[in-house]
Amino acid sequence: MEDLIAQIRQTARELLDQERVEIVLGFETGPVALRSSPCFVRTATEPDRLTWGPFCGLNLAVFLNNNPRRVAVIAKGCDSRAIVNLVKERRIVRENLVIVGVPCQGMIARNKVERLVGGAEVEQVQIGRDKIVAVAEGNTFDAPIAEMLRDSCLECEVPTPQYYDILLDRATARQPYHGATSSQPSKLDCSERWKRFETEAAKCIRCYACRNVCPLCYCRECCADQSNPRWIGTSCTASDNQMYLLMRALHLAGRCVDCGACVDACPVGVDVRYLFKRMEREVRDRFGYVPGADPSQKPPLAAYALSDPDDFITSPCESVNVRDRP
Amino acid sequence: MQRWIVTRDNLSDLIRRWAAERLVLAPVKREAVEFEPVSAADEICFGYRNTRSPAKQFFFRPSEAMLRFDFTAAPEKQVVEMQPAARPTVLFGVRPCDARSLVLLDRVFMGEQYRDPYYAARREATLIVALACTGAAPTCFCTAVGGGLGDRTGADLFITDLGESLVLDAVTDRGETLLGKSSLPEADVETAARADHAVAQAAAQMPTIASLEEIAARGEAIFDDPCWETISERCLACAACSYLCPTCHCFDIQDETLGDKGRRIRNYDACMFPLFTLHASGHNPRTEKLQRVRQRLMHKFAYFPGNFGAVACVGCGRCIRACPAGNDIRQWLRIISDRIKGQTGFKVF
Repeated sequence: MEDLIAQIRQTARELLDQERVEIVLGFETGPVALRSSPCFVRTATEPDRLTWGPFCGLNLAVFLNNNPRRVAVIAKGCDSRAIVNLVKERRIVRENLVIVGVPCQGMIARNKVERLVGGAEVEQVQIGRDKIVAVAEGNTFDAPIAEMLRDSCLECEVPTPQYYDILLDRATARQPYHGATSSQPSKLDCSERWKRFETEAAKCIRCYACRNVCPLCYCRECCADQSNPRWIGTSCTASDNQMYLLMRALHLAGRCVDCGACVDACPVGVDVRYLFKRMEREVRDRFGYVPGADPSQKPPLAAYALSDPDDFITSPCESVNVRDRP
Repeated sequence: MQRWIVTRDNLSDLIRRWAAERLVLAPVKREAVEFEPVSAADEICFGYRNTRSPAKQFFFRPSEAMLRFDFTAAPEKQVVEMQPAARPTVLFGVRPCDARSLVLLDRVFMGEQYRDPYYAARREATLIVALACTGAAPTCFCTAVGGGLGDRTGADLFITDLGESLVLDAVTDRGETLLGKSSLPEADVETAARADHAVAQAAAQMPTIASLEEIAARGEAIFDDPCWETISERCLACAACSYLCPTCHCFDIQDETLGDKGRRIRNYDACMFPLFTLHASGHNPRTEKLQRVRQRLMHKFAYFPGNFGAVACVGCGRCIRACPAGNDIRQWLRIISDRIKGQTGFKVF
C-alpha cells in the first residue's frame, strides 16, 4: 500500500509538473476513521496529501461531470466504469481527463464496521493482513476483512480498471472475490420481498445523499426535486420513500456500475444497492449489456437489435410470469 | 441545586413510574443507538456517545400535517386545521448537546414574534432528562461552541452515570415535580464530587477550534473570500448534515392532493438543495453549491448569533460522521477564522 501511495504521489507530481492537468483528484486522510476525503491537488508541491487505502470508497467520477478544466483522477475499478458510462453519455470531456488507474483490493463498508461495534462511533481502525481491528468507545473489535468489505466489492468483477490512461501497481491486480451478498436473488416469495423493500424504504430520511454521491445521477433537476408538477412527494411517508427508491432503481437500470457509494453514503443504513443490482442483472440477462465495461458498446436504450426480447411489450403478462423468478 | 443518588433499582422504579403515566423515550441500542419508547430501565443504553438521529425529531417533526382539505365536503368542513396535540413525554438520556439544541430551537419556534403551535405543544408536554458525557467521540466539539459535557442547558433533570449508581440533579422546577415525593438519598459531597470529576476529566480532552465571537461579529467580511471555493469544493450538496443536525430547522410547505382531497404538510428542507431558494419568478439567488455551503455556515455562525444571540451549532459532530464526502465542519471553521484574522500562510489550493 505504501508503495502504491508513493506511486500515486509521484504520478500526480509529474502530471502537474508537466502541466498535463490543472487538478489531480484523489483522496486524503479524512476526519473520521472509516472515510478518506476526496482531495483536489493543484500544485506540484501538494501531492503528499494524497493517500490510498480501503476507505477511499467514494466514487470520484461524481466530481467529473462536465469537467471544464484538465483533471487527472485516481480511479479504482468502479470509478473507471463510471467514467466509461459518463463518456458514453457525453458527460465528460474526455480530452480534458487523465485516468490514473489503481488496482482495488476492495473497500471497507462503513455500515458493516459500525454494526460490528454495535452502533458506537469508531475511533480507530487498523487493517492487518486478513483482519480488521476497530476501536470504538474504548472497546476493541475485530473481524476478518472479507466480512467487512462492501457488498459491491465482494461482487465486483473488474476491481482493476480496464479503461485508463496510466495504470499503477499492475502487479497487485487481483481476481474477483465472487462473494455472496444481500443482492443475490432471494428465495423469498413476492410478499416477503415486498416486506423487505418496505422495511428498507421506511428508514429513508430523504436527504438524497445516495443520489448526490452517485456519479450517474447528474440530472440538472432530479424528478425527486421537481415541484411543478410534483412527481414524488417530499414527505417521509411509505409511498413517497418507495417511489423515490424505485425511481432511482429504474433510472439507473443499465447505467449503475455498482460502486456501492450510495450504501456507504446513507446516514441511516438503507440498503439501496440491492434494487440496483437486481436491475443490473436484468439488463445483463436481457440485453447482454454490462454498464461501464466496454466503451464502444451502445447503451441498451440507445441501441436496437432484432434479437431484443420485446416480450414485455408483446406479451407483458407472460413476460412478468417468466421473469418473476425467485 | 439538589442532588440525589439513584441506584440501579431506584432507576428501575423511576422509569416504571414515569412509563405508567407518560411516554418515555430513551436511547436503545439496535443497529445504531436511537431514541425509542421504553417501559423499563434495562432497555436503556447508557454507554453510548450519541444517538444517530438528533432529539429535534420529537418536536420539529420531519413531516407535519397542518391541515386537511376535502372539496367534496360541506363548505364549512372543507378545510380542517390540524390541532396541535402532544402526549406527556419524558425524553430520557439526552446528551447535553441535544438538550442545548432544543433551547436554540425554542428561540425560533417559540419566540416572541412567532410561535409554532405544534412544536410548542410538544415542548411543553416533554420533560428533558439529560445524561452527562463522561467520554467523547472523536467528532465531538461541544466545548468549542459554548456547550459542555456537563452543560445543563435545556435539561429539567440531569444525570451523571457512575456505573453502580447515578447522580441526579434537579435543574428546573418541572424536573423536581417529575421526581415527585421520592425517597432518594441526597448525594454526599464525595459522590457529587466524583460525578463532577468524571465529567471534568473527559472535558479536558476536548478540542478548541476557533474564535466563534469573531466569526459571529465579522463573518460577513469574508462573504466574497476565495476560501469558500476550498470549503465547498468537495461538498456533494446532499442534506445528510442538515437532516441529522440537531439545530437545522428549515422546512418547506407542500400540498399533497389526490383528486379533491389532500393535506397541507410541512417537511424538512435543507439549504443545501438548489430548489431551496428558487423563487416563483424563476430566479434563484443561490444556484451554486458554493453559495449554499456558505449560507449554511453563515447561518449557523453569523446570522443566527445576530438574530438569536447564540451560534446554531451544539458540537454534536453528527454532520462530520454522516458526510459522505468526508467534510469536517471544524476544519471549515478554522479556515474561516483564519481568513477573518487575515493570517498569512493560508493557501487556497
